[in-house]
Amino acid sequence: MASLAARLRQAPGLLARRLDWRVKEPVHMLQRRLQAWKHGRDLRGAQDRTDRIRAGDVLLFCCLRNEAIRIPAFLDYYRRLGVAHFLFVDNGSGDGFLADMTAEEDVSVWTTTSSYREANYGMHWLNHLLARFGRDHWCVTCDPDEFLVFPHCDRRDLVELGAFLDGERQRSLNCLMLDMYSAVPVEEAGYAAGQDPLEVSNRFDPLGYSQVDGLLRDIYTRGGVRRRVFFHDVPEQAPALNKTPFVKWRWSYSYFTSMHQLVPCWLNHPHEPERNHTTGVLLHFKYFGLLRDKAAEEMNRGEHWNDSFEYRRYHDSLERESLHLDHPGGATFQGWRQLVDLGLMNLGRWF
Amino acid sequence: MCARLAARLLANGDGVFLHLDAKCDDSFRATFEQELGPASAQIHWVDRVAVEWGGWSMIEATLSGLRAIRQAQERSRFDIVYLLSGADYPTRSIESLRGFLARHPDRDFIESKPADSVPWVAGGFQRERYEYRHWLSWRKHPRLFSLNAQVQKRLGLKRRLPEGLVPHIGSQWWVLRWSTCERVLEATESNPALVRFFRTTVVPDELFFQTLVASWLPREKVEDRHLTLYEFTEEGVPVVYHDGHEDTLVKQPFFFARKLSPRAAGLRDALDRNLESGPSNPAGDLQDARVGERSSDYADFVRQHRIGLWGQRCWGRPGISALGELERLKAPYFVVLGPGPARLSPVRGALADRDDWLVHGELFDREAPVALEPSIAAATGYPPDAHAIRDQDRPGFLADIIRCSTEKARYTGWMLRLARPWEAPASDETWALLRLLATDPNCQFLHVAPHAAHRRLLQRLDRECPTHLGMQRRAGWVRVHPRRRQHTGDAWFAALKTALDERRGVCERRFHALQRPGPPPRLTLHIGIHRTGTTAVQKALHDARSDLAARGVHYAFETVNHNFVASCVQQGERTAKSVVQQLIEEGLDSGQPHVLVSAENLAGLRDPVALWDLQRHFDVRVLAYLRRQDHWLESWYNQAIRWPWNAELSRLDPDAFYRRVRRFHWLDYRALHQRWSAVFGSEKVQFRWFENARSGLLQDFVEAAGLPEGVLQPKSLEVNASASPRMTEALRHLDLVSRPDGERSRLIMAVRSAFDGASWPSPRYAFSPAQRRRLLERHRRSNNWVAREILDQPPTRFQEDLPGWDRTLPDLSLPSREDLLRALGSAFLAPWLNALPKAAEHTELPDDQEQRLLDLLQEADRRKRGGYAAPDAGASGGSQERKRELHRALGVGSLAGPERDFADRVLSNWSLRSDVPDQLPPTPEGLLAQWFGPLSSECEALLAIGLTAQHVDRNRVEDRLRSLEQSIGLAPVQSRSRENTPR
Repeated sequence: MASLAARLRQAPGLLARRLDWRVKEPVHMLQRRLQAWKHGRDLRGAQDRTDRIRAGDVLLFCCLRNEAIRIPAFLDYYRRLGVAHFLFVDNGSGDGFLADMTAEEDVSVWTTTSSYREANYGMHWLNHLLARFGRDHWCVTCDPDEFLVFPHCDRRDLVELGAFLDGERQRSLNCLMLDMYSAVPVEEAGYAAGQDPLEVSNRFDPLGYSQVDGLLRDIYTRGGVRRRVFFHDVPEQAPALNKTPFVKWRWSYSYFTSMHQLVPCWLNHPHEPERNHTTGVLLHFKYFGLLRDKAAEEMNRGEHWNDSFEYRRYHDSLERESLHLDHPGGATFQGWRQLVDLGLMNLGRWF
Repeated sequence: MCARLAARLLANGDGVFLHLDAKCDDSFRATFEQELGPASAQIHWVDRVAVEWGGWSMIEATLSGLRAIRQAQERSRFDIVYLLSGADYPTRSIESLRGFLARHPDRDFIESKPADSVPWVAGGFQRERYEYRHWLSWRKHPRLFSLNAQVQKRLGLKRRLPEGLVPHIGSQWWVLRWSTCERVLEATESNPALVRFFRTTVVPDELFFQTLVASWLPREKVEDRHLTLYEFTEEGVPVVYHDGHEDTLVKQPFFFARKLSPRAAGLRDALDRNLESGPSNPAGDLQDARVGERSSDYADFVRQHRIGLWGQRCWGRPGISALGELERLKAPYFVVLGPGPARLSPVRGALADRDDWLVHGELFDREAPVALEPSIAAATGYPPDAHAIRDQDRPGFLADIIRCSTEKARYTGWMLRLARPWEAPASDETWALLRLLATDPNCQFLHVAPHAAHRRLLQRLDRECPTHLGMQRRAGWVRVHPRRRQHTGDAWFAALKTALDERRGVCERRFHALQRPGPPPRLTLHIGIHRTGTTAVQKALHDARSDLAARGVHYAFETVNHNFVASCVQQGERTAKSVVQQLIEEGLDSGQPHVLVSAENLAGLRDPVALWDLQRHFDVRVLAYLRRQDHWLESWYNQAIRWPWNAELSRLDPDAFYRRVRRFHWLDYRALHQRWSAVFGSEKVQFRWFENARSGLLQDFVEAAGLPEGVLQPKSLEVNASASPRMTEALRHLDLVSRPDGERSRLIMAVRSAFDGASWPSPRYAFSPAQRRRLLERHRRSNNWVAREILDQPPTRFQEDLPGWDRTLPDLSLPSREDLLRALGSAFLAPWLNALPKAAEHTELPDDQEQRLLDLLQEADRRKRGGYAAPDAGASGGSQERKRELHRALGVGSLAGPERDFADRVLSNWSLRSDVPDQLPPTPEGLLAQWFGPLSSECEALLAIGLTAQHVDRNRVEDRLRSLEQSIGLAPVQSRSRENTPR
């Protein structure tokens, strides 16, 4: 009886999952707009330089907590790619992030100490800022450990990419997230502020990715080092690796779950049946020496997805033994062309 | 970046007239002048216009520039006007341009194609640009814009160009002599009608100058080419050039390129460097005649990256079929299938020792470790306990393994264990995998099993997985006998290697076909419709297959017709996409310039848009023959009875059949034409009139499909001829739908000869005149349209010899039962007796075994039908009587030898049946259904024993007997037959 009751309780949720995206889309859009408006009120402007934003600028939106050590390299990388203004949400950092930023002319910061989890892992805050400042701009939305790579990114920048996508009538760039790791064990891969993260960890898995059609027209992708090492016994629980970090924003758009899914759903769909569009790759630098402290902290806070299940796994692995992620089949990152040749990224029609 | 272009031009002493959009704020000019420095004083600033994309203001801005030049002409003399935009940049020196223009004096360079005949605009909105009046901006109000065009189109409000101008279209960027420019300028000032007209066209910048210049000047003065390199994407946006494109820009014979990204300073630097480098400057060897010819760099690039790289995975494209990632894999592999390790490991051992072979163990065992070759396990990162990851995405896992393995060795494969696969439950995971692999064209099977087991597996796959027929059956399986492997030596190995090489060859040919430049091959889709001689045409094409191939025509696949293309889609067995993919590959594989597909079922596709992708690779033509609907329905009814594909339709009388006529939606020929022309374009869809072509259908088909002359031999069209309505009525009661093909054709033969012999009169039509007339009336408008627009014939073509409104149904009643018994009886046995010698040739089994097999099969048949009196009970008096009666009718008495035996045995079996009434049935229908129906089954069953024996391996007959005995499960039968048969 108990199981029957439990199944009855779950029934609406399961039914809702089964529903077609066409039914869910307008509901989700309205719901996320309202939530963004509600949680947006938690944000306090700490450094507002948004008056410098000009039409046609590429903006970057990011939510962080105690990541100050990564920020110099992060700013440096995206400035080179043509980002004109950074908009940060600081979720109660205690590492002097705000003080560091006062000297940066192209950075605006909002602070909040509300719950990260209740704000849908920060997405409501970012949706609020995106709707406020990102309209009609090409906007990058990513975590501070994510570095966007796209075709020709060594010689062309995000402004040119945005112009190209405009011509293609695309409003988003879909990406595969590639987890990077070092040739040495995680604890030994030390990282110093301002250092190019590729110097520390430049290895990745060239194969072992499974992709299926997601519920909101996204390409639900799992695999890479995370599935291979941390989730090899429960691969269906491995985190999603598809993200859509580069979007020409409209007020009606919202991120739905993290950066994995957006509403409206057509933004999540990378290709047409008869031809490819351009896609990118997000290099994800998580597996540094920094991971141990982060895992310990986040595991206890339980503010992350699935009750920080992922962080608990990291923590367990790190506690047990020296965590060595490299394997003979790994590849060393050599640039965007390599990713295109491996089929992890598509040129589309970007000549 | 504009400043940079201006500086380059000024440095050569040319006059630069610069138009700055009125919407641009003033700071731009300040920055521009600052960048350019003192040279900015030489710039002629032009009166500013607020430019709107695709609007008349573009022309106004240009004219304003021309006016400024006219004023400046007083001070210095300009001969040539080169229209450039700020995003252009020179790829060759201005001197070389000057030289080129000096070599071509008195010429205007302006791309100008005749707009009403040459398609120039991608997407087709070309004539509409000037034929209708457009007051709205397409960019700002796309919906209102198209509504406006639609309304005018509906109302037929086309307009002509003023002053007899001939519309011409071409690139906006031209090079004109000043005298030409002056003439245009004067015309716009003196002729307001001209301005009024072009003000309401769309994108006049691609129309105005082109039309005026091409209409006014003699053809030899206007060079229809452009000196500025430009290229449009499929979306109709100019391709933007970036850093790194200098090579492709410089190698093309143009003087300027557009458009360069405003941020591409590196590209501009590289172009400058290239010009300064002097002697190596390729402008020197510029061939004048080639100027204006684009290279195919961009087109090639787009084609290569259209759906990802060949054979490589592609993120964002999960497979469209169940094959998933395996769909993208373009390398052959093999699977060794066998019942257990004892059978598999010797094969693995034999293969693993060879160079260039890489064989994995069992990858899909539920419990045992994933037995990857160690080197591949390391390279892919799949550990031995990767069961969960493997099962999450099996095709993805396999594709990873095979990609990795083919890098290391030429031939790669793995073991799959499945005991008695023909008995595996449908839910079995391994069976599901096997079913999936059977649809993969890259998968080569090696089956370690005896012949009988192999056949049973193939039978099951054919039954449950129709795609298998098209894929694997064609390429063939390799089988190796488990116990006799040592005797067969290396034969199986050689067969496997050859098969893998063949599959690799297919992959490589396909790759080269995709890379091949030149016009795409032509694909003719013959879509029927049904009952227009399609079977005859298909047979003729199939017979002439090799002749056709020698003359550049590939009749697709190896089957007589290609109806599976339509059926697979309609029945949901496969997605349309995967069928189309198979078609594309089949067509490209052949390497022939003309591919022919004939499938009348395609006419039944409600939405042919599924086939749209074919256009990417082929020049698709659609061909259909039409027939007047009432004639067609008559024939179709006949087909539904004689060649039943639907149990319901096959049992209907004409009246009931007529009530279902609406489901044959392709009878609306206008809608059919529109459906197909919406996908492939109306000029590609060809409809022909069957009645015209009837006498020389094959010749007509050759002409219509564009085949080489005389390739099809004229043959009889009576391959699938209709039966008369009365005979059809007789056949209707024989329940043909439940009979196998062979029996059905023999039965039809028997009935046909009975009817021919007795020469009973038959009405010409099975439907009443009123029914036929009503059908024609329903399609009258559609028919008139088709006759007028498509067939180019008077609309009366469909109305000749119209039936009246008489509602009486034709008399289809059968002859009396006595007549029927006599006529049918005398002709009935002939088809089976004719087939008998052929069947008997193969029944050379030892006597005892033959007898046993015979008995067992009969017994099995009886059990299956359950309709027999007990064999031991002895025949009742009634059954003897009916036997005598039929004996007389069939004329058994006049037969002799094996034919007599056959007839006797058939009769005795028939008389034992409990479902046959003892008395002669009271109606002719009853006679057909209750007497002749079962009789035909008995004839066939007896004949089948002979035919079955043909396939029984004489050495393995023991096996077969045993399994039969088991399946019947009757020990007494077995013992009795043993006792009865002499050893």
